[in-house]
Amino acid sequence: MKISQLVLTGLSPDSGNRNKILRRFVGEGFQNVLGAHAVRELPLERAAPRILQETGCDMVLCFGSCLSDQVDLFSLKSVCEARDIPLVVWLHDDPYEFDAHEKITGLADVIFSNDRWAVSHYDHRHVFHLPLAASDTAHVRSRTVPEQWDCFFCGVGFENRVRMIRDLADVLERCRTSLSGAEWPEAEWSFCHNRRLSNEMFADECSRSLVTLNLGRHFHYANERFQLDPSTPGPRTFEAAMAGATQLYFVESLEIEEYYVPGEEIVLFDTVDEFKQIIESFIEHPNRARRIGQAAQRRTLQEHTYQARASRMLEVLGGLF
Amino acid sequence: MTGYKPDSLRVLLLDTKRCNPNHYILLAIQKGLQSLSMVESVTTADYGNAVTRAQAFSCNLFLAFDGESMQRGICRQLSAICGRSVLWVTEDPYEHEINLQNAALFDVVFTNDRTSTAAYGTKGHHLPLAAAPEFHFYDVRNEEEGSFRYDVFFAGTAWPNRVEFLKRLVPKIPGLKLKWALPFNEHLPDPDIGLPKSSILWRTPSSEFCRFANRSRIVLVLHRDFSVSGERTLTPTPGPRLFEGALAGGFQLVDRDTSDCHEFYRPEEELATFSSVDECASKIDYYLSHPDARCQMAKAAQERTQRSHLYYHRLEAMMEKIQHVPGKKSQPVITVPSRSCRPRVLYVTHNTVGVPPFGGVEVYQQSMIKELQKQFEFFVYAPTGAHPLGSQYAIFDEHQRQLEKFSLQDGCTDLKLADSDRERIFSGLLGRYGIQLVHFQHLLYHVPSLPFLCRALGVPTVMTLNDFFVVCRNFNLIGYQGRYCNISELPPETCDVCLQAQCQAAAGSQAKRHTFYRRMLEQLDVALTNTQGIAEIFKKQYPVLKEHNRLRVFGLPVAYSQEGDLRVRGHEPLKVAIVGNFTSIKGADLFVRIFDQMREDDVEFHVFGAVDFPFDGILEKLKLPNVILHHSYEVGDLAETLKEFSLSLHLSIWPETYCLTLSEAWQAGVVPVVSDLGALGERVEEGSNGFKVPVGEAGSVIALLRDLLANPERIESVRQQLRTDQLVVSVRTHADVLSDIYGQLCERGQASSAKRNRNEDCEITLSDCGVFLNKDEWSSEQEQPAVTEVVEFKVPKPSAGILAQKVRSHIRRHGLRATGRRMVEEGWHRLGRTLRRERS
Repeated sequence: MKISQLVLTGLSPDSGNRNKILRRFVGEGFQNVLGAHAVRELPLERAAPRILQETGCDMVLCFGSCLSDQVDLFSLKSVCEARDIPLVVWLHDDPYEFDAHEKITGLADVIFSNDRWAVSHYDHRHVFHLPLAASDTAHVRSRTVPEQWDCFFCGVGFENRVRMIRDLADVLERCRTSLSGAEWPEAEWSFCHNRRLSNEMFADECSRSLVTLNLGRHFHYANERFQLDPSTPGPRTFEAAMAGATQLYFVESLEIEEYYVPGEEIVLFDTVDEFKQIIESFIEHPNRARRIGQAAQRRTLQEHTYQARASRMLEVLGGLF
Repeated sequence: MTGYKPDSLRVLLLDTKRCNPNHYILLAIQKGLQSLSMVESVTTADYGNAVTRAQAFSCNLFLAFDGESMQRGICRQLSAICGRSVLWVTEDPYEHEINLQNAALFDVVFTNDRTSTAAYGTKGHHLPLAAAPEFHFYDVRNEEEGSFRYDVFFAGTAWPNRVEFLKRLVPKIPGLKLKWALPFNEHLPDPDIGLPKSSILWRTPSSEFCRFANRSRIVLVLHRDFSVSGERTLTPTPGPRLFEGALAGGFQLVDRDTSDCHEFYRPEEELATFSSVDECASKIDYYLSHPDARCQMAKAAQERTQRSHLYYHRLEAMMEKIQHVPGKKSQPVITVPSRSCRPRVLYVTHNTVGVPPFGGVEVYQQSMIKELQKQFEFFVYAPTGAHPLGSQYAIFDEHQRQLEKFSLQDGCTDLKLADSDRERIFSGLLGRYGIQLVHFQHLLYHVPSLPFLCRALGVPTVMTLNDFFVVCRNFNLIGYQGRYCNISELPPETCDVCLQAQCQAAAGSQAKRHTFYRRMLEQLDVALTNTQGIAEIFKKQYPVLKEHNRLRVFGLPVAYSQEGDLRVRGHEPLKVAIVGNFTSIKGADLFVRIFDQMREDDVEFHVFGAVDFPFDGILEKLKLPNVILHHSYEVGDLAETLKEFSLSLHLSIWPETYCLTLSEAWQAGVVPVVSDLGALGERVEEGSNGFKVPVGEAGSVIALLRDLLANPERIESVRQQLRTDQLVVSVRTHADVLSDIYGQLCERGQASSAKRNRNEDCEITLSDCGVFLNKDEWSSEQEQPAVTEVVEFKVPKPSAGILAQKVRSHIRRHGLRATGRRMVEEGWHRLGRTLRRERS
């Protein structure tokens, strides 16, 4: 598909959008494919008037979340229709916000979802799977050796994560652990601190850690309708890998194997005992862990950048338009 | 009765369970149906669009899947529309009682449970669930590849019998790599099988279940022995997981005692079985050391599944059964026993004649009912006068007799976008009364989600846009600075500033309101407004109104039609009428200044309408010699009285959407002077049928009046040009237009749906329709202090009155914040009262 001007925007107003930074990475990805001049990033509320004012735009991509009650693509869709421009949406919070997507399914021409299982549940003709990725400018790190931490985790203290950390607490207390994020029972563990890390700080911490724990999320904002369980790993998996992290990934879906080779680029675990064995082994043989992190970083640079995703999206769209 | 042509099935496929984690089965059924040669089309739907889609695609087979949480009213309607209906229940025997009740709505019932089949009588058939290649197929693995990740895999809800079994199994199979998922729900205890909770409390999608099965040496299949509803707890028919695991190439070890699995797979050839924990442990041990046998059985089971146990096969069997069932032409569900065969029209409004204070809209509604009664049977749904307003509703017949009353806990403020209680009440009565068309007169004290429910139930809708309530809670678009805001030309941030100043609404609140109202307008078949210019304002704000000729324009009728009286009037003094309530938005601030400046001129101002605070005090204080207050009036009397007047003043500061008093003035041969804004500025042609002055410009009005005093022939010249038959819409003309619209919409509904149906169980909510809202209100008060505008009175202020004293006293007793809240509440109630008065 030949694109001379792509307008990249959000699905809701930028004020209050915590994931705005991801859009910047998406923009970089498309710039790498189409050229810097060919991508214009705008907040949603400015996108429709700008497209009306300017000529040359031949694709609009809305990247973001539909959760807010303010989300309304009607104006943008009207402008796109008037200019015969495809309105493409890439949703980044499936399946956790799946119910909210009914607002856009009648307006988007093509939908890309970050989650494979969610894709099959859309009531739309053109829905495709496109996982999130990592930025090769923002997330690449060189590992600090020796590492500051044996085990690092950052995220919100959702119930399933708290349960897991409780089960792992014995071993985590014995090694150098850093657990950051929000809503954790801070008083319960010495290694836990309720502090949010920026996207870049997250990558920094990954590079300073022997292993980075990867735990999924069971908390849903709007997923009552089909109660979909996530299938595809989220952006943190790719971002950590891009930072060279050696990830210990608790398996709730085996789709992860499509992105990283277990044992070579990522380490999967299924039980508390396995986790203990793995981390003790890595502490004893840190270079084994480091090699896995390096391999993950190489794979991510090759296949899991936003540039790669942009190319894939354009390939899919090329088959449609 | 008509039969099917074998290749003409147009299927409407509906998941009865709005929140269904097994919805993927419906998607598999959809694909299966699409592969059948006799199926022309398959349309999936939810409760929000099923009726519309069934009609749009002329579906002739309604297939309802699952059976749980059924919206019976909609399903009854779909059965009627499609002419033939099939229910495939998947929760027998656990939900057997309710399934039996629902079965009455369908021609044929298929049940997942063999033992439940007989209970459905001749319409019942057994149809087990199956597997879907698009979700579940994986190549069978063998041990040589070293590709197994787990020894024993189990994933399933933590029914107590399963938990007990696994707890006893764990110590008997030490050292194995287990991957077990035992998610539980609110009806079940936290499962304890002696393994860390973090390892077993997880869930995975059906597609991933199959990948796990494919990557495991042994897949354990355990039956369910549990029912929440108190029904039988066991079914011998295997659930879908057995077929899915087989298609995934999993080697399955199945408990045989309670299962008909031998009906589907050959035991010990296509799967292994056990009947006790010991036998299970022993077979795990055996098969782990016999990988070839496992692989062979897994291949055999997969092939068997591909041959016999896909949804395609189940649907073939289903079609075989239903082709012998006679179909029915689309027909009514139940005919309402009534003498009348008039289509039933429901008026949804904020008030009715007889509930004070009532005004123009209420009178208009009544006159339309009277005018159209021969063609349509009317009902009216409105809040009663009970406080807080919107806490009680009633439905009335066309003779204003109350038929039913509904009470709720709280009032209905305009902040509400949706409310499940109000939605159930409303949708329920649409069904019970067999309503065929809803005309929304005003949404005040109603939730704007109601049109979504009409759409879901296939009831056509008309909405009159009498003011700008759909655009802003400030329905006259007067912003916080006391001026018309011209919202459609301004950025959304302007609304944030205005609503924050007026009601402390958080930024983005108006955007949420607009988003929802835009979607609400999309549900309507027809919206009505009164002038082209006003229509343009609506269309600019909501371009969706441009679609499908949705917005129609025609004027409002005067309540009493009479011949135009163009006689020359005396001009000493010049008699000027001001008709309507004396409020700020009607220009009261301007009038006071005009009166004050012209107290010595040879002019007499007659005010017809209520004069409320603060203007009553102001006028009293000014002691104006040439202002006569007539207070409230009867519409019929006014028509006669106005004939004595030469001029009328209509100085609204908001863009009136029509202004009936202008019509009344013209009809009486009175020459109007109007603000050049909205419908006033649009309807009046300068020097031809009236005079125009700039909005809010008292001096220009005074100058014009003095000029007309000096040159009264200017007035008479205009009066002689008045063509009241063209300027004024009669009740009959208006009613004829409405009648055409009603007739077309009712006819369309009847053509594809059931006519004059009484349909019980229609209670649905916005959420049932699949519409998502984070919050049911478009705004909440900001937590941080907000900047508020201090609005001064714009006219000489009377000495501190009762209100000011009350405010001061309230602040002393309850503080500033509580007083602010109280004032907002009070303001809301006044808004309703004002709205009624503005119409009068």
